[in-house]
Amino acid sequence: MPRAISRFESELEGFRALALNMGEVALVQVQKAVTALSQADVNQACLVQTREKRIDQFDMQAQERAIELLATHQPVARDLRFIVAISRTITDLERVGDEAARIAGLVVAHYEQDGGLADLVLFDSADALMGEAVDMLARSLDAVETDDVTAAVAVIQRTGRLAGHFDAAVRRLATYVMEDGRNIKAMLDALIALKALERVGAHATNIAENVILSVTGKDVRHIKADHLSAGYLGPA
Amino acid sequence: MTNTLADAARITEEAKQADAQGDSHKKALGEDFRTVGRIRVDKPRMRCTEVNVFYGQNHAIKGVSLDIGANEVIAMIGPSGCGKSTFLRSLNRMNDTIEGCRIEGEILLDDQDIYDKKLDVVPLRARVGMVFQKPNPFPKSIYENIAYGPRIHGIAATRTALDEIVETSLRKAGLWEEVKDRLDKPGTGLSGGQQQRLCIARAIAVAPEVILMDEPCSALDPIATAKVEELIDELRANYTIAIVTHSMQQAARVSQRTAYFHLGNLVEVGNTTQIFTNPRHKLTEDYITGRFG
Amino acid sequence: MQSSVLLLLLIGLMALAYQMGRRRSVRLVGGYGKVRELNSLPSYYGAYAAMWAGIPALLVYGLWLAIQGNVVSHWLVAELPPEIQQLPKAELALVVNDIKNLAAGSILSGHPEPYMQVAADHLHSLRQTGQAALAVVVLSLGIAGLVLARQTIRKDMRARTRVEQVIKVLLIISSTIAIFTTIGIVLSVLFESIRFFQAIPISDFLFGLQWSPQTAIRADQVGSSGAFGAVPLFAGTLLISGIAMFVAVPIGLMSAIYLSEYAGPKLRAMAKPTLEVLAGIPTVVYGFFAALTVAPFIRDSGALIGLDVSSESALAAGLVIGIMIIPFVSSLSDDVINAVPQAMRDGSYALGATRSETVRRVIIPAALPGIVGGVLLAVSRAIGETMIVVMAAGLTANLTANPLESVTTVTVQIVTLLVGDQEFDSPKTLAAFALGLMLFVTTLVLNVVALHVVRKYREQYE
Repeated sequence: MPRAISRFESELEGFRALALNMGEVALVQVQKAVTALSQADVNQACLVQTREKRIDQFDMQAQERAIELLATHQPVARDLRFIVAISRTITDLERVGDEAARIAGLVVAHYEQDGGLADLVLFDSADALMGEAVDMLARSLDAVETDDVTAAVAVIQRTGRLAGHFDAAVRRLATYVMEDGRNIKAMLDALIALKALERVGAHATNIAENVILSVTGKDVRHIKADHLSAGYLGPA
Repeated sequence: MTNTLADAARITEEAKQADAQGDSHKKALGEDFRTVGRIRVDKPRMRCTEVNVFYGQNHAIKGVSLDIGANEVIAMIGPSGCGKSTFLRSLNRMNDTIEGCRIEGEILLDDQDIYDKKLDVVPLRARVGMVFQKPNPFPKSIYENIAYGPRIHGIAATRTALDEIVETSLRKAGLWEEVKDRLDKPGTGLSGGQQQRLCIARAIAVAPEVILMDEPCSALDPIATAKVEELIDELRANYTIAIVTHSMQQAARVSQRTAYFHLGNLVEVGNTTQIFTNPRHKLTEDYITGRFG
Repeated sequence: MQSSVLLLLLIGLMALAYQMGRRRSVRLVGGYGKVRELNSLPSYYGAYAAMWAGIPALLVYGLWLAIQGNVVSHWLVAELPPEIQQLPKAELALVVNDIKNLAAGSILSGHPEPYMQVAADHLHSLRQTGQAALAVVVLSLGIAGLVLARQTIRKDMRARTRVEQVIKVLLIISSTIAIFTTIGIVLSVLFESIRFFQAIPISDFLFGLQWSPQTAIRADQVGSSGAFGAVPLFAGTLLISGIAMFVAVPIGLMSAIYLSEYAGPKLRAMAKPTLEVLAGIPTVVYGFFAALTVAPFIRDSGALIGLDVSSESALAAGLVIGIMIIPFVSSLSDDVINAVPQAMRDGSYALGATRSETVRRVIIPAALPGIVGGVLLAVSRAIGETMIVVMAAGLTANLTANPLESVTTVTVQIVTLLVGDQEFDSPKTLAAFALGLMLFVTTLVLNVVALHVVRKYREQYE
């Protein structure tokens, strides 16, 4: 039981701020990667790759902080859940950073070799998916900032739509391959990029689930999104 | 002079805040407050129903209903003066010795009302043993400390039988190896942790079903505490244990169920893991996270 | 100057020195704001200065008073006419005494001779001079000390350490005063006893079975040569104390147990002081009670069952002493029983013990050292008791174990030996000192045994 409670609380807020800063950087990374992808901007993609290091630094720092908080304050209940949730969120954000870097890497690899603008068409159909993934991540971070369960539930309930966008984009890709078998290499790259975007959305969902765990103490990872409702979660 | 005035003002302010806090807690509990969580278990050893304890005018325990399951360790936590010790002491009628103490409600031990007029308190206390906050070995030898209870209850017929009881009790308390060569030495010469285990052995010697422990580790150092906690865990196989503790970590470590008392109310009871990860009542959460208390 | 005025002046000087020392120290660092630069608090510098002003002066004052009388007498004798000086020592002392009385203005037995008047005047002037000189010396010493102290005060001087040292010395002196007094008493008793043992062999005293200390004062007086066997006295003492303890220990202990373990707080609050009143009754009153109520009662009851009981009996005295010392046993036992931690009782009750089991098996053993202490205090009280024995047990030194006969005790005999006009070199009076020594040794042994018992149990029980 932490006795120096006000210090502990400010440390907890500091921990949240760390996660939010990291989230900000990760979100920008994804946005930049997406822009690089849609505009075939190799420079931008390179920048994203370099900035990946910052995310890793954040990750190291935050995980260390989590262990410190656990060791020094031995938190229970809400505090324990909060630290675990933020710690998980940070792991997700680190993965988000990885996905952004993966997309950037694909952009670099793809356009440096062929330099063809023609392939851009491959991603035309992915706009919706990009937008959805990025927005889910932004919303989930908002939920972390305000401990907002409703916002978190809203993010989780967008999983279906995200999957729909992903499926549509994959179908569209398939048509390109059918049109021209030589597109198969570009199509595979594009598929990986789309999958990475889908993963970003999935991480956003995880983050939202962590918010719910932190606030209500309920683990909703294996509950169907449709079943989540105010009634199930009960009063916070 | 100015200082004194400022001090007085500060103290008044603090008192007001404390009152306000107390009021808000009262409001949070209310008159018709019902305990959060499952108070009943499948195999109860003791079953308390609507227990009220009064010390003169002071209503110390307010309508507490709680089951203590067989072979479980139940921890009772709560801020000082919340009634957890009082409740514990009412389980073997130790409150009888306190003047002006009155108890209402029903406490069953294996379906038998322990406050039944016909029930003698002597065998009851043999069935419900108690270990206290400060180790309190009698000023006698280690052997005599253990033999005390069996002698009173006439449990051992012969000296050999008594020797056997002493050895088994000390073994169960994990103390035999440490003291077997000095059974005739005073129990008060042991270290604090050993003394407390001696007191546990003393309680075991009369073959109780339930052992009540009132903050058994509060006077011990961490290593001795760890030993006692380990002992509690081992004893669970044969006994039912109710432990009052101020150490949240201890409650979390040794118990299977945890009950949170506040101002004489049983606020919440539940599995220890649930209480410590996800308490359902706000007062419980505030207490275990150190937000007040 | 009067001594009291001088002392007052000296105290005033010390107060002044205190103030000056304080001020000086503060001024040295430049004001109260910088007091922390000093080695010690300003008040320590004040005390330091006051010590310097007071202690040497007081020492000299004491010393002066101690030797002044002798020196003055010596000078006085030196001024007397030679033929007076030639007088034997004892007569000279008488003359000097007369002169002193004359000087003090008292009426003399005879008419004062002229040389006496002269000497008295001389004595008067000597004393005057002495007083004046004393005043001058003491005051100048005080002032010198003050000045010296004021000079030696430095910023880094360890005034606190020095003051503490002086205080320590004072404490040592105080503690030794009690020790030296005891040693003094023992020695004086011892020397007188040795004188007694020169007249009466020690073996006769220790093992003799006859006690009749009446000796002839004048050679022509009819009387025995006296027998100084102390055994009957100690036997009597033992008998009476034994009876007293037989009464007091069980009653006192049981009432203590009742009061501390069973009685409610109200009863306890009332009964305990009442019981303690017993200890406050003068022993003379107990004596009446013993002699006028208890002894006749015992005699009459004895007569009823056909026993011949003397009107002064050991039983009567023992019973009443026992009643007198009940509060010693009960009050002290009650305190120690109350001091047994509640945790012990709780531990015992929690194992299902009843109240009396708890008392017998836990509380009494735990309280035993204190109870033994109380009982021994009561024993020494019983041994030392005089008045009740005088009044109820008589003065006859009977060697008997029968409590119905009259006996006497050591203390009673000491009293009877010393009351009235006595000459201090006959074995009769000196016997009192020998008895006193024996009593002292007995109680000492008892105390040592008691301490040992208490310590032994304490090792076991704490």
